[in-house]
Amino acid sequence: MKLFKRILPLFLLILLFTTVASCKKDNKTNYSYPSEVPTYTSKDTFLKVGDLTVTKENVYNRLLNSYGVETLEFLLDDYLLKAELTSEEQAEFEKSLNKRIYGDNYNDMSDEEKEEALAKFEENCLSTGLKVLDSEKNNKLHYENYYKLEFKRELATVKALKKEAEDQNAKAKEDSSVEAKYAESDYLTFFNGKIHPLYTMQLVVFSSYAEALAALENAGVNDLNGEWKDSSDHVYTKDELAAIFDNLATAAYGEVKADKVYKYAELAKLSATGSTDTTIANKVSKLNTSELSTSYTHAPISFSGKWFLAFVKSTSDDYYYDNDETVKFNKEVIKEYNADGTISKLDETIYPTLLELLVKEDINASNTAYKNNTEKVLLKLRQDAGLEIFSEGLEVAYKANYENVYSSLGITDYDAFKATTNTSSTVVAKINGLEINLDAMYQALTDRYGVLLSLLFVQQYAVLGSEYNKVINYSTLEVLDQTKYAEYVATDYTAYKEAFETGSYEANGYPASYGWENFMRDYLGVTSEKEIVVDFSSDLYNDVLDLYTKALYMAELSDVELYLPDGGDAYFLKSAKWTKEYNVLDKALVKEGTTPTLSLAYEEKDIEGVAKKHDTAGNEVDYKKEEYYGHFVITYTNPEGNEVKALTNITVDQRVMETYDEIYNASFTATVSGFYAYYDVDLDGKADDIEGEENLEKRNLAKALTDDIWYYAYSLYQDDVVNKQYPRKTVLEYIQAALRTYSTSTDAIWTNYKKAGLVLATVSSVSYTRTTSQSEELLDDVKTMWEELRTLSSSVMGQTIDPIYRWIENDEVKNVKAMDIANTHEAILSNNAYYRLVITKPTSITAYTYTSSTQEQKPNYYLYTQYLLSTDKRETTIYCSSQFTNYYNPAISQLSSSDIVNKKIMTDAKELLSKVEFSSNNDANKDVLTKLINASLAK
Amino acid sequence: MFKKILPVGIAVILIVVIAVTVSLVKKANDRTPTLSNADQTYASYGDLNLTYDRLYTYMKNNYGVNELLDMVDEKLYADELSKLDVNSEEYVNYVKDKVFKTHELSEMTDSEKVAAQESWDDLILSLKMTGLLKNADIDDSTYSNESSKVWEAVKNNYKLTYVREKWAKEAYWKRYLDNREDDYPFPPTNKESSTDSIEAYFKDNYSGKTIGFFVPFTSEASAYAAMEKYGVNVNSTVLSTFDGWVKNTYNYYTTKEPAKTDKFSFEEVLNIFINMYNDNYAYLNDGNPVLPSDCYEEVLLNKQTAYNVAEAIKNAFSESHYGISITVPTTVEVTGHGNAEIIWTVSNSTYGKVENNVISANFDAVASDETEISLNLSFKVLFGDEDNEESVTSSLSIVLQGERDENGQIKNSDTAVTSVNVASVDPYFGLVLKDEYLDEDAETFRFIWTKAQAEAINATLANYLSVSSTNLVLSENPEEIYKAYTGKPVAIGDYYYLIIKLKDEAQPELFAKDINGEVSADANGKYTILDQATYDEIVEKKKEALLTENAVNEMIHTNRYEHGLKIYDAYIEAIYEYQYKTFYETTLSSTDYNKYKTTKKKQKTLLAEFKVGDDTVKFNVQDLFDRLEKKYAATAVATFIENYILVNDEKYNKVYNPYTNKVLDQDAYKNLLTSELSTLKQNFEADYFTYSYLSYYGFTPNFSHKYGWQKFIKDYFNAYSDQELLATSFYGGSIYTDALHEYTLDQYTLADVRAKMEEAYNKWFGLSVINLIVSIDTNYNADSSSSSSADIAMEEKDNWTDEQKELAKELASLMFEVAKETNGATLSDQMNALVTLYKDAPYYYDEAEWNTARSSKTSIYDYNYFGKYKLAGLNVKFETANSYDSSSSIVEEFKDACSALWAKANDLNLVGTTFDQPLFCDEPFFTDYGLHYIAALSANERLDLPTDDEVKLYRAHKALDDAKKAVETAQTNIDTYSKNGYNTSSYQATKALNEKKVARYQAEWDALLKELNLKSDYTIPTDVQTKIDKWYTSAQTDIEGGTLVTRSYIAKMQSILSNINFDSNGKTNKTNFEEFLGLLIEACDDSDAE
Repeated sequence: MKLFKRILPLFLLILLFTTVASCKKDNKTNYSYPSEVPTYTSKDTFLKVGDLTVTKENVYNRLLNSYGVETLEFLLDDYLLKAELTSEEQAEFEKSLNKRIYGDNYNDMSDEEKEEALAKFEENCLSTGLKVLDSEKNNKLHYENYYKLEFKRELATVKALKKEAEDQNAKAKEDSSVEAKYAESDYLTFFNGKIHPLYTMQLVVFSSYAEALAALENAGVNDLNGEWKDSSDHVYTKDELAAIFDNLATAAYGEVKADKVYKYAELAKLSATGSTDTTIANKVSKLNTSELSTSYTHAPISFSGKWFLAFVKSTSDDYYYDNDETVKFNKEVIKEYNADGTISKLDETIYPTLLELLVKEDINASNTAYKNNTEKVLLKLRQDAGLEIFSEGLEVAYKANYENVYSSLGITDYDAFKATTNTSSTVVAKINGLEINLDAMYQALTDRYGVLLSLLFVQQYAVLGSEYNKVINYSTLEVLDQTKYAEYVATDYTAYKEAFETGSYEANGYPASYGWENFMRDYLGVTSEKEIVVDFSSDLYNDVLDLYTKALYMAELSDVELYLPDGGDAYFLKSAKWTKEYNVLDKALVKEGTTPTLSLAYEEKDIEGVAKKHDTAGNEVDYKKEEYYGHFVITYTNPEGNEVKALTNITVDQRVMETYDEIYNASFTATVSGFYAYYDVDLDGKADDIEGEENLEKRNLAKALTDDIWYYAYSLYQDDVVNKQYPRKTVLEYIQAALRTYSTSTDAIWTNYKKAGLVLATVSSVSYTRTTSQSEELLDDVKTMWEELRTLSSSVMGQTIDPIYRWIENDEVKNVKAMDIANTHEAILSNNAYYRLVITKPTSITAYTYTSSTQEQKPNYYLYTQYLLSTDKRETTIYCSSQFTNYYNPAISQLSSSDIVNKKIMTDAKELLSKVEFSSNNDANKDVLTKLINASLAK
Repeated sequence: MFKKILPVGIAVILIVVIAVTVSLVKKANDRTPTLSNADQTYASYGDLNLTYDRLYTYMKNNYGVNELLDMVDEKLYADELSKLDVNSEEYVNYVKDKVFKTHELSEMTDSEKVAAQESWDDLILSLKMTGLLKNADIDDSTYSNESSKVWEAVKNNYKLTYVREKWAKEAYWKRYLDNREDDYPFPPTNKESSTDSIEAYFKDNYSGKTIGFFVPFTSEASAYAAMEKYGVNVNSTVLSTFDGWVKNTYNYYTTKEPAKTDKFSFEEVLNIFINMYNDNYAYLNDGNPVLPSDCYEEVLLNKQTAYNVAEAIKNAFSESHYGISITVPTTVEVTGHGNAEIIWTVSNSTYGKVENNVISANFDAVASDETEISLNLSFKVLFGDEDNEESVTSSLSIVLQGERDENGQIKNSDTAVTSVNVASVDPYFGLVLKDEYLDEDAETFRFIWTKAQAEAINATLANYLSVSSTNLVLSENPEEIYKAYTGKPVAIGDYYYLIIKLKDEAQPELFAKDINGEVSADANGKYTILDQATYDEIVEKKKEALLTENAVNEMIHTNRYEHGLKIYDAYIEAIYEYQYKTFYETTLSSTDYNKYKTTKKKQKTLLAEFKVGDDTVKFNVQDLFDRLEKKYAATAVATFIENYILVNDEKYNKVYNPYTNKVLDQDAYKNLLTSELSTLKQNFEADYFTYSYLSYYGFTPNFSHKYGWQKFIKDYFNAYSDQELLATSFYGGSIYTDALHEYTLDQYTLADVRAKMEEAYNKWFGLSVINLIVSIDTNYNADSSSSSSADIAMEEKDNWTDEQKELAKELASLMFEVAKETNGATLSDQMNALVTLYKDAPYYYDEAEWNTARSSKTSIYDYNYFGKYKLAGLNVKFETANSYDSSSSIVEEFKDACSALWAKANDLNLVGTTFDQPLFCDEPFFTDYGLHYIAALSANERLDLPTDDEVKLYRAHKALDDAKKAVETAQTNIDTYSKNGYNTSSYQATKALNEKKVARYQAEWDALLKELNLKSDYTIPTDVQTKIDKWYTSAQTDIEGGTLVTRSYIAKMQSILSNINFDSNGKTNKTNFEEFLGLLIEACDDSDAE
């Protein structure tokens, strides 16, 4: 894998060209590098960061190996697809660009939202090297132009694939052994599945079957087999049906809701358990108004715990393509229906339109399909235009992509890529009518990626230019520590070289005969050993980054201040890296007028003079290494005038230990059962948003339902568990009984909730820990219950206490009732739902310290350094591995997350901005660079 | 009707291959004694002249061997027959077993009674048809009237079979015993034969008896509910932690362990079992308790009492140190029941001894400063009287202690305990049901079980209710009495059982055993039989198993052989010889037997002879004729007339009339002689009729070419000439079959077929159905996992009470009514949830509460509606959707309900759809499996009936097509065999015949197309063919396969009766022939009714 690419994706989110890992090994055995290749050798400065100078050659090489193919394709396609769009196509393009910027809901967006979307889009453009300023509108890299080319590429693809399909269909007509690309059945399936009218209808949803039946009976519907009739066998008229549905709606919601116009996509979201679920949609979409009896559901349709009844009063004349509403068909194109309501015959004149839609569906089936399909067409286009690539590395990469596209599409019968036998020292590549020389290529690469690469250099400068790099000067490349440097050369440079020379990169298109120098330049984008050592993800960089990161949370002497608060009685240690201050020395112990000093202990000599500690028998005992290693030591003069050295408990990893405590204190693990109530007024199966002041009433109602259900379940539990000694039900079963009552009862006490759209669901034996994705309040509440149980007795931990658990302590029988514990708690809002949870099994967490009959051990800085070593290299035994795994390491991870580190690097980068200078377009480039840094810091 | 069908396909191949390899044997041995009036006419009608010879040949062919053998046996067993008391119970039971498959007629269920009468009626008809019973003799035709004349006739009919079988069994047994080398009828012990010995049989079948019972519940939950009702603590931890049932006064969550008062005594447990049993079985006992409170009694158990004594002794020894010797008790008083005897021993005898009742330590065996010695004591407690004494051996360790004086001598210390006494001990009483409940043959309320009886309910039950059970054990330790009942419900079959065992009655030993527990013989090699009755019973059972049908037949065959049976009729002999040989060589797989020797002699009239004592018994051909005529002449006459009616009619036979010897179609006649007869003849010459595989097709393969062709076709097919073969039903030649085909078609019209099709059409349905079944299971052996679960369900069909039937209907309706309360997504989900709820419901019902709950619509989850039905013994099962159509093999009632449902769906225009809502049948209905309430989920479309024109087209097309195919096949054969140089004349003839047919059918087809205005290239469309296959074909088969043709023959015979002439010397005349025709109609009616 290329070095450069390993770090770039951190900042460049899209448009990365994927390297081919499994290229075919071709006949490179007798390979020899071309006699001449175009190389860019300008030593002129491209960029300066402080004392670091980056040359144009360096920039070209790096960008060519990473973005060469993409840039070349951009230049070639821009030329090949230069024909202007027709006005129709232009309109289409504008529509697609609009969608790209604003998404699907442009018309529903406020001006503010639009502005926000545009700003976000432009920020993304900048981060991918595109231009956004109005003044740059003529620049090919202005996003409008860039995406227009994308659009042209797609147009060309659709056109080519459509022709392919038409040709195949024509062939199939003549020759029965040839299978048509799209047959009539494909068009029908497509139309039935993807093209729908708008449904104007009354949709009523009940939370139980019993409730639905009761409502139907009240509304005068007794027999659900076939058309609805009254008791005297009179078939209801349309108006009567409308009245019945009004009655049903009143039963379900307490009011009649206006008929609503549904798109198919909206139907597919009804009660969806995933993003879409078509059970209801498929049923409802088959209702049609051709006859009254087929326009409504004759019996409730059950899905996802709800019961639906629908009355389609009309459907639109136009049928819309689900994926693009602007594509529509008049219902007259439908010629015949099947008995089940699906369409069985279409007007054949729409087949060409359907074929185009099918082609687009195929192309857009996935990102990979899109990429491969368009590339396939464009590769052919370029090939047909006589493409020759003289830049060897570029040709190797292009060829690899070429082969990968066909293999991804499963095409084996294709014209092989023909590498050119011609050479040039100035032309990078050409097609008929266009030559791209070195300068043009340099220009194209730097125009788009110059600033982005510069940001990488600045970041690299921030890290490798820091005090933590003591091996080589990043700017001057002067070696500071020869031994260390040699080690890095061995791991990064020599190992690479050897691998190359033994043919490890042959499969990637680089046999040993390619030449190491050429390989370094073409594959890695560098030209010297030192460049490799200091490259973006070299071992050196990673090692320095580790130190850079560690400094974020590990205290050093310089970070820590020993201070006496005004009027205070004691000295404190404080550090910006800590969240707390620590009292370490009484003022009274220090001779007035003297100032204690601070030092760090790592070796025995560092604590010489510290008073020894005593064991229980009063004997003096030496400190163990873990008791002083990384501890701060205070030296002061006592009132008697003697110098005293005192060892503190405060350590360099103090922040880690603070976080260790936080994590431990927040930890719990328990199996819980329970239920939650939420609104699903829009019937999409997901909890409606009930946050904000305006929803207070809603929240209160939801909480009231939760309480009512809880009390009901708890009373059942009380009857069984408290009054009897042999409960055979679990907590969940009591809750389910209450839920069942809610869903099946038509009692007024529940209907208010139902009418409001409140829905209940159970939580069935789920494991909860601090990282469960629920609100902190809910997790805290579970933690509190867990704590109550832990406090009750250690015997309870790890036991199923559902519905009750007994244990014997000091010969005394004790018991705990799961619901009793929960009963003293309240319903808690989390993820827009009110929860009542019961711990059915509290589980112990890893102890704060490791304890056995002979040992007690807790992670500390010394043990941590030992823990990092392999077992055979350790000076001491680590007993508290679990504590490391569960608290210490997570604490470090928390304090050195990539977000935190990146923010620090970007902050440093921002400070370096004043030292950055581009050799050309300095102001504009720096402006973009600043924006990129600011955007990153704002995240 | 009476023809045999040749395996034509195979025959044709063989003919060609073999025909060229054999030479014809012209001379054959004609050994057939004949009637003196052979050529005289027995009956005639038109050109049909049925001679005595032809009649005899026919009857001989069909019935000759059996009748002759019966005649022989009647002589051989004359003595036995004369001594037989036809009114003896043994004989009457034998007849009943033969006719009804049981002799316990009074114990038959209603449906078995109906079946019995049907068998009886069939038997009467067959007796009447064979002249063994006259109408005048029929006074009462109900099977149960055993004094009727009909019964007399039936009894007469089985006499020979009975005496022959009885004699054969005795003879076989005698021969068997004569061949045994020891004095035992079977190997007595496993030493002689581990699989076939009396000991092995004893072990497998005599496992002792267990007194106890089980209470079945439909689920674990309902069992716990019952336990809870009677105060058992059903907390799962309590049940699994503590031994035996604990009362629900004990609270596990507040109290560490149940106190003694928290535990049930065994008697209390038994009473709970009795209560539960009474609750669950009351419905089978008119609502009354089956087991009253005084159903059991206390029985002193010696072993357990001895155990109590041993425990008391051990308790009496505290951990105290004893003196240098102590006196221990040699008897302990068992309160109110005398004394238990105690016998002491010291195990580590170096350190001590027991003398009289004093145990003393041997301090000499220890160091001089030791003052303590540990002694290991064993003691045996004996309790009971001499006949019923039980013992328990126990052990304990004690420490004897003394003091040493200044000389080191040991002496008792001041505080020494010198004797241990045990106060009286309570006896231990077992609880056993009183004898009146221990009916070993009880069907319903069984409390005593053999292993086999428990296994008959379920094999797993035998793991509990058997002497050898390790799951339920009657421990000698009274503290372990809880092991005698199931602490938790046990899943067995479809139920959860609670089971209690009260007593094991081990099977007494059959043979005396040595000290190692092995059966041992005395010095003379004799075994001591301890239980002679059981021994005899086993011998009897093994004897029964030995005397198989084969054994009987072997003796019958042997007997005839030993009496030197000789048969002089070549045909009868050939058949007999074949049967004889097959019996020995195939059935018995024996090679070492007395072969039947065929006779060479030709007799004029003598048919058979054999010896009885010194006399030779001879039967003439006339004897056999007389016997056959009496039984079968009418049948034979009818058969010959039928053939004549058909073949003599030129409407149907257009080729050759054998009765007038008139050739009607010279070409066809010639071709047939070639295509059918030449090949058959060649086959015969090639010994085709000796090929054993022919027996598969019903031919006796014992007729080689030596038998002679003419004689063969006469004896075998009743054909007196080659030509006759073409037209006789006995052979099935083409003239006959073609005529029959045409004749059959003439017997019905298209309208008849349409009526049949419409009948099927109207009954047709195709549905996806869900099915709720309410069933009963009076012996609680239902097991859905068993392969015979359907049979188990069927066993209950006659056990339903009216009350149960009413409740079942009520339950089914209730379940569908409340299904919605479960909120299942589909009715199937809902019903499954309800079935679970039903199974879990406690067995409890209070009418007032129930009514209140119903009227206030209390939820099914808040009130137990189902206990009411469970207490009535009703079970429920739900079957999710199954697809059925009218051809499904389902019981009639189910079919009718499905049919009605389909019609309902049709009325509602729902056919061809999956319904939005299940469509219920109008009301629940009963089948042999119980009550069903079904609903359809979807209904399939019904295929239309073909029109008359379509049927006509199909028929015409099929005739043409079949003929064309026959031509093609013949041509293929010609091509194939001519290549190899074989004679293909028979194929040429077949081809020519069928070409003629093609021409005829083509003309008919063309005319039909013209009539229907169809183009000449018209072919039957696929959809029409589908309709024909669906409706027409089966309707046609139904009509033709019934009695239609036979009835037409009968009608014809009735109409021409006056023109049929019978020989006045024959036993058949117009009157009895007319009567016979009436019986034939009766037989047709019977057949149609089936």
